Amino acid sequence: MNIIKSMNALLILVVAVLFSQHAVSLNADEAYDVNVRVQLIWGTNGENPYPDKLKELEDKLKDKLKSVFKWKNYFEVSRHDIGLKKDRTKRIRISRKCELELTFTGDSNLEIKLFGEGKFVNKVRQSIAPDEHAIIAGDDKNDTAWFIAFSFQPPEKEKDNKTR
Amino acid sequence: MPIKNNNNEIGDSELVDSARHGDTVAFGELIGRHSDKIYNRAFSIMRNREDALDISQEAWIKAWQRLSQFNGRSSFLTWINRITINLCLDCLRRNKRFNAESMDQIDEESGGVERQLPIETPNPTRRLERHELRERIDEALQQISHEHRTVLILHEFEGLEYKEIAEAMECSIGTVMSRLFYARRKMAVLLSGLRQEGY
Amino acid sequence: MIDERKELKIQAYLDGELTIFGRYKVNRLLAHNAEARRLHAELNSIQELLHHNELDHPLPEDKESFRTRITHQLRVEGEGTSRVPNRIRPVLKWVAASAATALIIFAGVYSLMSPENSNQTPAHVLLGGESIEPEAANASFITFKSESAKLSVVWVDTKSSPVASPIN
Repeated sequence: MNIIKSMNALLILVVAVLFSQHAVSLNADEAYDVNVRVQLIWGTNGENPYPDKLKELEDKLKDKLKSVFKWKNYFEVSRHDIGLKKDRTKRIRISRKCELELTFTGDSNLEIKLFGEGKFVNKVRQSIAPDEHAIIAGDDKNDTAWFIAFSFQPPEKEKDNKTR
Repeated sequence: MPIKNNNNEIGDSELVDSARHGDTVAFGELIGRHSDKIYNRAFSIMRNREDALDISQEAWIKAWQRLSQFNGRSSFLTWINRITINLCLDCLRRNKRFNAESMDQIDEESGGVERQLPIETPNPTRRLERHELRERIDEALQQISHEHRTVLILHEFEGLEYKEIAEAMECSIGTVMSRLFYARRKMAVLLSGLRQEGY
Repeated sequence: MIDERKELKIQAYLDGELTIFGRYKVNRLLAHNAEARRLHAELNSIQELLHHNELDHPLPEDKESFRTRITHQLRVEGEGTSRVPNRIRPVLKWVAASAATALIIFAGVYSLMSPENSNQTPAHVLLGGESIEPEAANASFITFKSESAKLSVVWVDTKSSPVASPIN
């Protein structure tokens, strides 16, 4: 009899633990509607001048850029994982000179405002499919270029995570 | 309520009344008046520009949504400041920067290194420029843990009592007292250099 | 060495958190214990130092644009919860979607037809347009889309627009 009681108590405990973990994960998922990855990238035909600062871009995105643009090498300058709620705007600084305002407007639509040295440059509205990237880019010195890549990330990375 | 051309002549409570009736211009005036202070409080707790901007923005939106709950017993600034503080604490909890089980924290709260520190009394003679002094204090605040800094900010800068801090931080009054004590002692050590410089 | 309980009492005394009886006990401790007095002096001086000496961290962006952004969001949220009857919403959505599609097709065709744009592009693919809203009068840019690479690109002409290179 005592064994049955103990088994019941154990079962209740297991169910309670599972339920509480589920509740916690639900809460975490509710925090943001989408997660956007923003990567600042530098494209060049030369070598990496700052190996300690600039990381080789991941192959998948590098291949995409290579298939479209003329540069041979692409290095990641910074990366930001940003959680967004629908119709809420977040402003982030991606470099000393450049800031972005991001607004998730529902479905897969992202509104991006670009600021250079504090001045508004342009606003872009992009619909970005799950495996797509949206790019804002421009020329840089000595025949190099900068790229800002935007992509939606799977929901488990729910919090702003400035990796560098 | 019609808004006069010069909104500076209007008190916060009148602007709040107008905002309650859906007047976003009046609410915008409140934002213009207090956005620096709200950002400052968010930054002082979060120590991160982007988090602070997010939170101050969120605080204004929450304030708008909850205007009907503002009873006018405190000032509007105090009220929205509390909203901001709560958002910061929520964010720190989400980021798990508050980790009650952290061994370091248990060590600190039960005395840890700070209990062994010699007593330091900064000399209050005025020598440094006030801004420089504030910068030094800010740098010292940067060096203590989130838990200790937050208690210190809520007590010294916001004037909250132990009980209010305990409620906001979801901990016991005893924990608040311990954190405050060791935060102050740590600050005394970090600012002991001011002594040699005439402070 | 005074124990931790007494240390916290001295602090609570300083913070005005003790009852009259508690204050009396700490007064007696301070009168008879030099270490307690030193601790009291340290806590008191750090409290005075912090009071009125909080560094201001002002909003790091233009206050007007911050205000505009928030009030704009409030209006958007207000509109979101109002007035269009549910019956009409699907029709409005369809009209909006059709208009957007037409605009995108027009923008795509226009960018393909525009010879100066095709001269400027650094890419070797120029396939389609994207929805874009130029607000800075002197900002110029071109847009294109690579279906194969799954990339939508907005290329900002940095020679004529005020954008500074974000690299640095």
